[in-house]
Amino acid sequence: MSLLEKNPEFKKNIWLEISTQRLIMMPLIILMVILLASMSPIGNTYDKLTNISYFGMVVILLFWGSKVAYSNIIHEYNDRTWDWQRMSILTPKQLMVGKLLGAPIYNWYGAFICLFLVFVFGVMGDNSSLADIIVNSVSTLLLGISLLSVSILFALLKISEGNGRDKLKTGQIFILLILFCMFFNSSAFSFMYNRLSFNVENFDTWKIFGENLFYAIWAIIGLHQVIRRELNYKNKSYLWILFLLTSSLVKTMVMMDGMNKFFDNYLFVYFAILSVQSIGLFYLLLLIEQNELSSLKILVRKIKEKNYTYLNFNAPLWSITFPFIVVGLITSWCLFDENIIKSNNSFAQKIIDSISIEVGINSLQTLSILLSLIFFIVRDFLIMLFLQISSKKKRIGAAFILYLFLLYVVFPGLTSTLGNHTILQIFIPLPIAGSFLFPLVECALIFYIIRSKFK
Amino acid sequence: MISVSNLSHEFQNTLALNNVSFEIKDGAIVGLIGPNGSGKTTLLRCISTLQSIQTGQILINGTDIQESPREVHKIIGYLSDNFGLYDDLTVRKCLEYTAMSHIENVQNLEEIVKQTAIDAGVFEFIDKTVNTLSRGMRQRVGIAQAIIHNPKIVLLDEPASGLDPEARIALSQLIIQLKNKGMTLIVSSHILAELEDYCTEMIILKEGNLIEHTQLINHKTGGSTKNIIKLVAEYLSEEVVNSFISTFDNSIKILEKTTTEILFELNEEVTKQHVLLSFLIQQGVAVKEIAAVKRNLQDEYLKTMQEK
Repeated sequence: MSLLEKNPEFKKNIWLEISTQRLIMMPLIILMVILLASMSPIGNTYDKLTNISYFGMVVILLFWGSKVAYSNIIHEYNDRTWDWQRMSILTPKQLMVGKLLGAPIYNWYGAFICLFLVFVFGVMGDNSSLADIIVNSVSTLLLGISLLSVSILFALLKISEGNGRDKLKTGQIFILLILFCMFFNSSAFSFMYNRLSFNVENFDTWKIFGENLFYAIWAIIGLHQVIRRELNYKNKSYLWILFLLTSSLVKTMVMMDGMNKFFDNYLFVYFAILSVQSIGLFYLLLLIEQNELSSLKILVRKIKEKNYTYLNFNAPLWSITFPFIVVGLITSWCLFDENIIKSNNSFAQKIIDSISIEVGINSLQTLSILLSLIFFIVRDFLIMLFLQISSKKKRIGAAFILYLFLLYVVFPGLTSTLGNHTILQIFIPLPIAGSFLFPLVECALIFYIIRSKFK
Repeated sequence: MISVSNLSHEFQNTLALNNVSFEIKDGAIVGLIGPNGSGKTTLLRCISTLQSIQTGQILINGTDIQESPREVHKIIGYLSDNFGLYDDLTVRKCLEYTAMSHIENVQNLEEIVKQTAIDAGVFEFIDKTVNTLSRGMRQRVGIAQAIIHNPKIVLLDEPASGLDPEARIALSQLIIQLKNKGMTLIVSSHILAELEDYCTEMIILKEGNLIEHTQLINHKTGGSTKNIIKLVAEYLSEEVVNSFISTFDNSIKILEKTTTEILFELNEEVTKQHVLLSFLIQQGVAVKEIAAVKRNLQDEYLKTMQEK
């Protein structure tokens, strides 16, 4: 009751989403599915019903719920009701709770019915402990919170591209959203998949729970930050840096559990994960953040003016992420040689063999790979900038993905069939001394084109 | 009350606003006019803080909206071009939600909703769902939402588009009513005849540039007046016209001139047409007609657009 009284956004969503008819329909459909499943002669009845209830929770909350949460924001934007909310006196917390719990309230309702059934059938089935059932269920709810938060966050980033007049379509960015969540919380998704196929013996449920809790907290913080920005509050960039650092730490701890027979150097794994994670996020942010030319021009102007306060509040997240790519790559490259090769690590040797390096790891060849990687990333950023100047706004994302596909898949594929390594250096990093010059020249060329076009 | 200085905004590689500056005083009704893509919506969205300011400054009651946007929200009501309504809610619930989310520690919610619905002329539809209402009524619900927190400034983006003539007249009356309550309004529109009924000032935008900001003749809203006078004679020689201009040097601005007709703007200090008439007769001009001309907003707009 208190939430209803104190949160107008939540109250409004209840008005919009809940009706007597809908309240009756959800349990009715779930019970019908359960009834049909119980009639099947295959397998243990209670295990089967527990699993179907769990499946229902996954579908209703994770997939349908995140779709509802995402579409809700896009519809609010298209109907211009989002303008009212932005100009209201609602706090970011009120709006966040209203959007996270209110808009998908019907999905939460269905998920809790399924959760109840998971408990009932789980206890009756006598196959797993009550503690395990509780931890698994709460874990899935946390994953739901993460996914729904990130859905809303992506939708808010999407609408920030709009001009307040044109309508936006829903769903275009949805595949990216799912990929993003799987990239970050892959063990939770892997657990979910295995849970549905009765194969959870190999999973440490507490570890999954911990990871889910960590990402749920960060998803909520991220959503809160984006809502703050929409409501004209100023955000500092330190939270994003903290996320990059702690997320790599959690991933390191999770990975080292299974990988310590290959790597005994935590620092190396940490920096390797930091760089891989930062590269993934950098490309994702290039696609979803508002990278309008006008904003970039202002950014350059503020850098020239040394207005660090502005940069602290307004720098795009990709620009904050890029230094972590460089630091992560260079540090892990140094540590790879120092601590792994010298200890005759067999797994490391396999990696070296796979990329056909016959010389020492800290050689000109490997330094070239490192530099090439950095220059290729810079080149891709410049391509995005070039598209911002040349293309229609709506097609930039698609054009960028197409360019990446051509440059990293199609052209290298065609070139490698010809066996021509010199040309291949134009497209991918290779362990050839001086190969970094190719992406460097590409960067210079695109920069020159952008400069002349801009003038 | 509203001071805009050197406001520029670039969007999708296009300069939507280019160094726009103006000031609007309390109690004005400003018509924001311009062709499609001239920057009207961007300007309104910048004032309402919905669009970030890239260059320039907007002060409202002396408060920089970039520094304290949340404070500015409390005194601004904004109605977007498609009214921003929840189609599946009743008018009452729409207004309740807006009141709860726009008024701090809202007391007497029912009373506020009822009074606003009466003021906006939607009380008789209060328990109907929004999707059953006509466009005119939806627009009134939108205005009710925009004024529910009793803002000092109301920004209306194309409020009259798609309305029938009856609804337009009702809208004009409602806008004058809001001005009489002490609100300052900026109304963007394409329908100049309707703006003429209530505007006291006019701002014309063209390709992001402010090309005219002028006071208008308006008897209903008490706007300041311009005396535009048309003089028709048998023949107006160059000499007569020149002596006419030099005699009333500071008071006259020739707008149009032929050998038989002159259209001129007369300064407010010289309001007596008989002084002019006696001068012309003394000069031996065979005056056929001398009369005040009411130039409508459309004339002003078209003339400005042609000139600039």
